[in-house]
Amino acid sequence: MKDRIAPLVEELHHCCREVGRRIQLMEVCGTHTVALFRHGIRALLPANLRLVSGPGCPVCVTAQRHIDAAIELATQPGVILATYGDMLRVPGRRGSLERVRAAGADVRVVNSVLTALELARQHSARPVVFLGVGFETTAPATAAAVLKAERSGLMNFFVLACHKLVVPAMKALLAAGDVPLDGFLAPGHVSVIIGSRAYEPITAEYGRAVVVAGFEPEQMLRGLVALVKQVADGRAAVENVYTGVVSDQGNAVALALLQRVFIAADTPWRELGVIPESGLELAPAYRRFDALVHFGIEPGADQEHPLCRCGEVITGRVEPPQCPAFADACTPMSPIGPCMVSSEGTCAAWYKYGRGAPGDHVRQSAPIGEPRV
Amino acid sequence: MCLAIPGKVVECAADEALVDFHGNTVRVSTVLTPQVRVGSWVLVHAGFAIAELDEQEARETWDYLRQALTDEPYVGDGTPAAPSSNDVLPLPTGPKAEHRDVGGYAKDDERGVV
Repeated sequence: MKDRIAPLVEELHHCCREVGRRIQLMEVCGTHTVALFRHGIRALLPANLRLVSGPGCPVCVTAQRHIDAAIELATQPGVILATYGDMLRVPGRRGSLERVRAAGADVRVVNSVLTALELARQHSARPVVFLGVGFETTAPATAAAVLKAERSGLMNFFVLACHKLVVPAMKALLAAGDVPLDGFLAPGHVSVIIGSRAYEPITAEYGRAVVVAGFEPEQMLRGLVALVKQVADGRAAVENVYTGVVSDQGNAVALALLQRVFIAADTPWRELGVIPESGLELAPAYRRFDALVHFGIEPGADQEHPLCRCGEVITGRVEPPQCPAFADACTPMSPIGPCMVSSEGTCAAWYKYGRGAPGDHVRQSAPIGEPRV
Repeated sequence: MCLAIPGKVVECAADEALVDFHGNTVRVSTVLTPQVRVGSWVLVHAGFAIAELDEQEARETWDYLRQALTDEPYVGDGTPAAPSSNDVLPLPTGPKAEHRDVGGYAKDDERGVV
């Protein structure tokens, strides 16, 4: 591997020298955040290249009101709530799904929405609610499950639809304008579904570089080199270094399924507020599967912990050590915010890999805006 | 998060396939990738094959994941690493003993999917 990594690191340093000024790039995806730490790539970065994390961890961006709704659904009589394991410990106003499960609610962890469908078949007298979180990588599975439930006449299967879309969040971030960004390392597996061309609005409307990359060290370094080269050349284009996996157009079958079952809706993101057309809700033809409609639950307001700065962390405004709760009141064992809950949340990644001496695991980059706490 | 895992299709039915991951075989839905056949490499996320991918890419990812999961040295060029107890390459040609159906919730664990 050294033979292939070392020249890329050298090239990255060369390109950054060529640019001469400070460059700030955002890795959108939580999997990239962790992989960059894990492979020590952050420690190899040139001094003038800074990577910030983006709103690409589904656990971290799910609005608290949706966690609260999930908890309320889980405590309805007879309900089985099926969820991906990531969501169990995310705190809502009334504790977490894990807490209500301990108190007797029937919360089941599933690795696939198909398991939730199977639960609905097995327990035909009980409502089964699937907590549908995730970006475009995950949403087609939920869409396929809804269609399957419809075909097989399952009347007790419901979805709490919290799926989010990556590109609208990137656009909202750029439109806010307060986070200086030269470009984005775009998520590899979201791009499998949406295709690399989906990022064209970012380059065309906002003039930022976008490079789609996979999660291996070589892939991520190739992505960073391609991004810095664009910055050096003053270009803003969509490039794809993950061509063995990601196509221009994405997965047409999956996109058609999404279009059939869901409609884009203005959606609340945790601590980021409502972003226009950034989420998926069930299309009118499939509204009978909507858990909120079926149970008549209206998601309330979000009321985040006053210490938590997850919203600023996942928009690149602060780094986790700048949060007063980080590694103090908020740890993976007793998380306050979702970024510390998820194994691929930015705070959890920093907690695990980024707390060493400067230059040990991570180069300590200069904070933006305010001093490091 | 949105991490998908490559595997090789060893059996194919109407809208599902038996996919081999490092010797474990798992039944996955192929509704999103109806074109896959026995021998195809697929990227699997949350019980669904979301893409067909080329073999070189699949082997490189396998190599990476093996390193990530076992802390073995990462080779990074898609060629088999030095043999070890966890070595899974070259690929098996048929279903192995352990067969896990994603439809059985009891076998699901609490690790993340999304």
